Amino acid sequence: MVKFQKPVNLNGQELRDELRAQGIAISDKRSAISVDENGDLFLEINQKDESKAAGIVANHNGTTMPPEPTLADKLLSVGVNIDDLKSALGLS
Amino acid sequence: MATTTTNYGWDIPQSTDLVKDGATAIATLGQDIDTSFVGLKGGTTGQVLSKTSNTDLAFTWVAQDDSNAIQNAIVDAKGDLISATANDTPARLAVGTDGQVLTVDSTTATGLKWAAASSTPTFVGCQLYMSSNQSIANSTNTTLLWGAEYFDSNGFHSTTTNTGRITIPTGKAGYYLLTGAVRWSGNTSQRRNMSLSKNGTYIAGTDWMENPSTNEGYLIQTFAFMVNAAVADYYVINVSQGSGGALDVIADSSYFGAIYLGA
Repeated sequence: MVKFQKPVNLNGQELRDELRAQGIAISDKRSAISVDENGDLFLEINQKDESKAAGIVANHNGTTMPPEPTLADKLLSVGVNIDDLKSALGLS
Repeated sequence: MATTTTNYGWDIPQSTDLVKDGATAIATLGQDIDTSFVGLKGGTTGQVLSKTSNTDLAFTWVAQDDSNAIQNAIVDAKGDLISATANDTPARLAVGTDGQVLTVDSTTATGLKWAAASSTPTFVGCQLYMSSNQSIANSTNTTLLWGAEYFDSNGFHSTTTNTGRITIPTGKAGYYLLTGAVRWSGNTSQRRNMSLSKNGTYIAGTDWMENPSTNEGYLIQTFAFMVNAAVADYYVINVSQGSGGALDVIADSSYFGAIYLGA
C-alpha cells in the first residue's frame, strides 16, 4: 500500500482507470483504493510506481454525482408534497 | 487379704484386726470415701459433672451450657445461621429476607450479612455514532468515522484521535459482540459494501453487500459479529459503493458498537 494525499474529488473507479492508462497496475479489489480514518488515500500499487502515481493522484478530479432525488424531492420539483399526494389519494 | 480397695486404694478393715478397732477402721474408710467424693458434692438443678483434671474423681458441677457446646438457644428462628464474632465466639446470624444471598462484609459483627443478589451486571462496551454525514467516494474502500459516543464505559473510543476505531482497553481482553449499522443516502446504482477490519486487516466473513432497491435513503446495512479480542486490538468498519459518484453515509441511523461478553 502506498500512501497519498486524498484528492478533493475522488472517484475510485476513475482513478483506477487513470492509473491503468499510464501503465500502473492496480487490481479491481475494493481494498486496492482505500481511505483510512485520517483521510489519507492508500493505493495497492507497486512501490516503483509511486512517483508516477503521485502526479496522477494530484491531478485527479473525479466525478461526484449527486444522489438520486428522493420521491419527496421529485414531488416538490412539481410543486407537490407527500401530504398533498396522500390527500389526493384519499389516504389522509 | 487386701488392705485397700481395688480401685481407689481406700483402707479397709482386716479380718485379723481386733474387733475393738473395727469402728475406727470403718470410720477411716468412710472418711476416705467422703474425701474422694468431695468433688461430687453440691451442684444445682440441671448442672452436669465435668472433669477438672485427669485425676480420678476430679469433678466439678458446671452449667449444662458450658463453653464447649453450642446450645439450641443460640438460634431463634427458621433460617438462622451460627456464625462467629471472634475466635471461639459463636454468634447468631439472623435469617435474611426472600431472595437475599449471604455476603461477606468485614464491617459487620459476624463478618457476614444477607444482601440483595446483584441483578444488574456492570456494562462494559461502547456505542458510537457519526456527528455528521460522511461522503464516500465512488469505488473507494473508506473507513467510517465516529465523531460522537452514545456511551463508552472503558475508553474504547476517542472522539479526537483515530475516531474510526473501537480499541480494546487494558484489562478487557475477551469476547465481544460487535454491532453496526450503515445508512446510505438514496441511490439505486450498484452495490453497497460494508466490512469489518481488525488491526487494519479485513476479517474474513465480515463482508456485507446490498443492492439498493430504493432511492429513498432508507437502505441500512447492519451486522452483528463476535470476536475474541486482545488488549489494544482495534476494529473499524469500512464501506464502499459503486454508484458512480460520491455517496453519503447518513449520520442518522448509522452506529458502531461493542459489547463485552466475558473473558
